[in-house]
Amino acid sequence: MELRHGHSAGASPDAGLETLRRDLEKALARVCPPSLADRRDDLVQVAMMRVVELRKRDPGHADLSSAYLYRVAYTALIDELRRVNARKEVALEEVEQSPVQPVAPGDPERSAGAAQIARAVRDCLQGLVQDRRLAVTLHLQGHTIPEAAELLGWESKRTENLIYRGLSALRACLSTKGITP
Amino acid sequence: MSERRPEDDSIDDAGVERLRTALREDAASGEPVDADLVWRAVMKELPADERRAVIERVAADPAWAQAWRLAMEMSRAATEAEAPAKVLSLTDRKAQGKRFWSGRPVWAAMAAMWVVLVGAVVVLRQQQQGADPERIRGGAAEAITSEVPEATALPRDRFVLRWSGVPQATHWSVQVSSEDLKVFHRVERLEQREYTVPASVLTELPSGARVLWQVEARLPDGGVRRGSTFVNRLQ
Repeated sequence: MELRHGHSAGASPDAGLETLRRDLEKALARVCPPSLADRRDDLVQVAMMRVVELRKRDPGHADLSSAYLYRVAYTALIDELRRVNARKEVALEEVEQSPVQPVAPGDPERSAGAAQIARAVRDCLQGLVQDRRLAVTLHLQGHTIPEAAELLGWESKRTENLIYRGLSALRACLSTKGITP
Repeated sequence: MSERRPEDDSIDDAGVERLRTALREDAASGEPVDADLVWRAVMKELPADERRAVIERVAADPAWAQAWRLAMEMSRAATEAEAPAKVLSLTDRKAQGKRFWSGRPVWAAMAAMWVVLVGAVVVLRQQQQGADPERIRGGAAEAITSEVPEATALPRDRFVLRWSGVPQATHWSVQVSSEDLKVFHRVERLEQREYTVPASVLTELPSGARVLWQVEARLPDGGVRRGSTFVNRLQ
């Protein structure tokens, strides 16, 4: 693959592919739950295959910008995650009927705790005033205040206030559910 | 008696981090995600109100939240991959120019003359070869061609874009950006090789502004062919 821009410029096509693969691995490691840890290699592989197929299909592949290829890899990743989750649900139904319970990757107790907190956060977010909900959601997704402001199309100061007040309301709501952040 | 401060009611950084970790480690599945929509929201290719609609789904659905986080990571990586080739802003270029030329008056004059000469030769050669000055970037230039005369300024209320090429395309997407390359309008799944940009999205632009537009052809096998970026002025 030859990325039109970036640090692959002048490098071999394989170097561009390797960069994309590394970025995919990093993104998955940072974002995916531990329960998917054993599927990460497969997920990366599927996304990479989609990119390579696209390159083969399009003889003018040199025109494909890296932004476009990252987007293709991302879309493939989401498709595959959907398939993995669907298979997981089917497997869960089968397991419920099975006498032997398999061990899930990661710490099951920790996963259950995370799931409980995450559910409570989602419930509480729904109870917030819309603007606060949007601002706090982006904050919890890891965006800085300027990033959140730009995404929402609001002033930074306003976004900061909404996050601050939204977090207060979120804390109050979580405490009624027995959760202290 | 200790006074209760407003910040006591909020969540400190460590608390926010704990909530982020819980959200990340939550393996709950959710509704099917429209990956393209999430990507365009994160990349700010959607208008603000549509971005906010996507964020609403992120707030409510673990699958959409996970997709958003992945899009964040991947878009940042993509930006880094493209960063070295990014066009410098005018201020950056001026600042860089100042640093470079300071203390080098003779070399500066000679180099400037050389640049002007080379530039003039390149422009002349392009004109001789009939190069299209309205074609800015993109590659499959032979595939998608603008049918709008390049010198024509188009009226706000009839900003009609037309193109030809890629006969096998099943449908089309059009992306419209301002001169600073900010995408302010995008439309998908067009069936005709023609699109009228709504006057409402052009209101922010002054008369005479250059409007950049790019067409993507969707192929029967799911592939995408992108055209060059064409430029027309606003009347």
